[in-house]
Amino acid sequence: MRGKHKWSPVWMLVLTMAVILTACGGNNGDSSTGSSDVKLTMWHWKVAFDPGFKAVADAFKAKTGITVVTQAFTPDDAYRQKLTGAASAGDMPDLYAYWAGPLEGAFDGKALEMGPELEKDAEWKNGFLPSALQGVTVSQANLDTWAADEKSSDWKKERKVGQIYGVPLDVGAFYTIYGNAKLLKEAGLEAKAPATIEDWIDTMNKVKEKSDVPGLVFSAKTFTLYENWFMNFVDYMKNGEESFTNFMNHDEKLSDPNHIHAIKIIEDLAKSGNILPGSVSLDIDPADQAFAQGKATYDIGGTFTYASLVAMGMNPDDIISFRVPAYADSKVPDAKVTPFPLVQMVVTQGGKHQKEALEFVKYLTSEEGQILYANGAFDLPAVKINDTSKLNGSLQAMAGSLSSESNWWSENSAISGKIGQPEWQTFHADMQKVILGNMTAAEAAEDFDKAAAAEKAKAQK
Amino acid sequence: MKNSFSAMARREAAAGYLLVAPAILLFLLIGLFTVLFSIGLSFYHLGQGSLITSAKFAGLDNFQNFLFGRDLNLSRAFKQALVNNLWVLLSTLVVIPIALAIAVMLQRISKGIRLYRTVFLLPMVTSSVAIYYVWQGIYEPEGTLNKLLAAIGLDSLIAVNGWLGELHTALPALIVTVIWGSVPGMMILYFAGLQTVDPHLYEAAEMDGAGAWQKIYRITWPILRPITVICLIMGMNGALQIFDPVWIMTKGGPANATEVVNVLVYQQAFVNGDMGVANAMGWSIFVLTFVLSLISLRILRDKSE
Amino acid sequence: MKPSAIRKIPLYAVLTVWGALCLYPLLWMIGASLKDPMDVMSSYSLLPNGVWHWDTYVDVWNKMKFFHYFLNSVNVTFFTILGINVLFTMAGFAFAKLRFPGSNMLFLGFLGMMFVPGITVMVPLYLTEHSLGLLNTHLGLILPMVNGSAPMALFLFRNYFRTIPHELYETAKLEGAGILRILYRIYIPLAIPAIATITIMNFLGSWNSLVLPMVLLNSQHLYTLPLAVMLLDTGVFRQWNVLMAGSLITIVPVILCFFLLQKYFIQGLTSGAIKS
Repeated sequence: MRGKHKWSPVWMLVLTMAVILTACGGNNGDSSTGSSDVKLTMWHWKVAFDPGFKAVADAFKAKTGITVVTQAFTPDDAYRQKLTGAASAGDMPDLYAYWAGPLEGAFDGKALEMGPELEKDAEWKNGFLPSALQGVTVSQANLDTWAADEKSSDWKKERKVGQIYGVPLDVGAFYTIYGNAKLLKEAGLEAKAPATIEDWIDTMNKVKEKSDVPGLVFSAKTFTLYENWFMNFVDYMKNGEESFTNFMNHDEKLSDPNHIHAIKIIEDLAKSGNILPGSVSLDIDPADQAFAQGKATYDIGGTFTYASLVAMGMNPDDIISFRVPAYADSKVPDAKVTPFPLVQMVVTQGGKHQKEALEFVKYLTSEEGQILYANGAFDLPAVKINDTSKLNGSLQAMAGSLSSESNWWSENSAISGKIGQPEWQTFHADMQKVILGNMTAAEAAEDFDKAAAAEKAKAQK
Repeated sequence: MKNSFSAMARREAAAGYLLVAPAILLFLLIGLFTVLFSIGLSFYHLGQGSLITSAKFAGLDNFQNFLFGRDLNLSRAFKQALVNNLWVLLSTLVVIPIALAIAVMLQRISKGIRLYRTVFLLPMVTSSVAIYYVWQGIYEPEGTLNKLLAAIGLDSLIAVNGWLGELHTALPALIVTVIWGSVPGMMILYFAGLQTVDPHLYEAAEMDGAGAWQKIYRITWPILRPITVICLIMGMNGALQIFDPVWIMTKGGPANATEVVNVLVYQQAFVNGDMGVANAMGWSIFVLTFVLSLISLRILRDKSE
Repeated sequence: MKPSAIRKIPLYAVLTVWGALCLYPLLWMIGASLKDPMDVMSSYSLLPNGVWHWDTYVDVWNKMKFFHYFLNSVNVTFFTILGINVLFTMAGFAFAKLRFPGSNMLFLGFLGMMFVPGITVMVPLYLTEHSLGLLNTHLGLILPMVNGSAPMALFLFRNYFRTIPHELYETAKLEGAGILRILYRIYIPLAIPAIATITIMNFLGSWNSLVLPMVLLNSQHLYTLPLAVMLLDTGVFRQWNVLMAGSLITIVPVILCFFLLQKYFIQGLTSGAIKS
């Protein structure tokens, strides 16, 4: 059954070429070069924020005639890859969103330095919440960290205190505990914020006794969630600035009596059955969902968690929230949580439409733009909103609960931020073992101190 | 005679190069630079958010970091990850006989062969990402598996923190998913191979008085051998390069119990932004897989050649 | 016949159990796609409690511009598979049947590509494609996919061509047939099982590919189905029912295609077995 077709290789090659050309031709779809209007491309990675961006882009177009096309790429890692590739290849979008932080997403000078622009436009600069702007400004502690890191680029090491390469888009805060008021009332308890951690644990035990609901759920799977949404602030409150700084710099040990609480509380809660089984394999959303379904009395979260809980169908009347409690013997039990920027907007340096891109960022971070954005994205604005009634309900309430005054904690984010370093991954793994009952707090502390010493020795090399 | 022979040999060689050329050209176009660049990066320091142009030469630092304890924490993580990879690799040895057994059984039945085959291919067809979420649901603390165990009275076996949540069950549970997903590909290869065996050959062998084992050795095995080599290499590569199921189901947790090298590579590259170490790790695993594959090729080599 | 039928009962039993294991996750997906979003993770019954939400599919279909993304996926997958089969039957034949200096080294070199760490080379690949002007094109997806399948395809084709008796080649050569003619007249028709296998395996890889298009494509109108499904993953939390419905819409063409292809697959297998 030989076919009659002559499958000559020449034909095959011709076919292949034809195929290649066809496939090539497929991408000439929407290059509208004829239009005289400027068209800006903006990249980001938060699909949920897209309605917010679109609302601002529409208003901006009505004002200026400039079109802004927003494109979202998910998940986070793919977005990071994409931008890293684009930056190295030199074909960046006109502007993009990036995780907020000094020099984040600046790609060794691919980003426009915003500092001078902010100086030129006092109204714009003064509109930002001080702590929001602080969160994206290069500090001495940042420079020290980069100088000690063999991987830091020369460009990074040459930066100066006070430089800004991206302006905050939104703010949020960790260190928020959510409680299920219904469960508390059913156990005959008052639904209110506990005065201390001791009180808090006591409440958990009471609920557990009455209704067998474990006290706490959180995403113990997510690295730095417990560490950076709860533990570092508790340690700061308990021991004060100096001892906390020493702890973060490994001049004081986890096994020291004043820091051991960081892992001991996990051991105590796990032993008393107060951590929801399965917490070590829960991501953030499923953990919040478990809380919303009443599987645990409390949930560790941030300001942004509230919106999720309501969206997950939890009755707002059943939710109480409070700042993480402090131990009774704490040095700064009344420390205020300040909001910090979560996302920043970056403009590409020397882009074709740099001026227009900057103009859009200015509009996006103006009071008017931020109200449009916040309502569309359900995100807290990074600027002062004089007429908060323009924000929708729960945003209003949350914005009101945050202090915008700058303080020690907000000024020293580089210190608390050390929680992301490799030795803390050891801590995180050991914490999971403690939750699962495969390790004791004392063993975990000893293991961490070893890892911390190794990391410190490496930095000094 | 000799002259014409060498002319023919030359023509044959020319044809050989011509036929291989398109594949080589494609590799030169798309693969070579990518690969060289990636290898090069493993000898450079490249921090979070830095441009590739500002990378600094690091010599063997990156390799020393994770292989020889220059970075203690990273070395520990790498060692654990490698051990887990080897456990997954051992599971390949289970997959191959399962795949072969199912292929043989499938060939033996007369009715419904097509229906069964279609169903057996489903794990391969269903989109990987979605299916790992499903498995996650099965393994959850209140998931199907625990509920099933409770229903049949085996409460003592229940994994309270979920099958992916306990230190000693997480990796085995993950491996079961991997086995489930990798059987169909190998099964269909074996099935295709068995189909090519001419039944007349068996009859002829029987007439020659060959026993069952002899038939398998003389007729079936020569067909199955190259397939087994493919399965072995595929399985080995799959085991050492495993990423998707781990990333989606456990991200290496709990407490690194399911950490594998590629997850570590990914975390280093795209979470910690350290492209240098990530590439160094990736290429170290490349060398390991390559060597192991050569060994298995040697062992299963065609002795008649 | 009877005793043999009885002997086959355990065979059917084992295969049915395995079949159930293969089927279960798919049934779970279908169930999840029809459930109320709140119900998906809280109950482990395969069927929805109460209302069956067929409307989810309507929503997903309308939101997704499914047909457009479907065509994109077809485009990419079709040309990827074509490229793989054309390039690697040629090269596989050369490695199996022709003697030329360095052929073993070349073959091993291609084989070695299998172990290239796919994740780490993503950024270097982006840069390569940028310099070739291939970014944000379907061709830019097809070429690395074809290249990436080289080891598997070459290995299979070479092995397969080797199982075909060498006498066929010698006879044809003595009759004066050119090498290319031998390949396309004799070997390719005999290699249909191998081609079918390679096609099936790469169809899936290309159809479900997620990370590659995510990194290499910018324009939404070029997106393939898995990216379109990811666009559904919006909102404050993951809507399982929507995501599963989207995934199923993506999977159904693959299952249908498999169902259709199986026939030719069998034909290919049988024709490959007749060696006369």
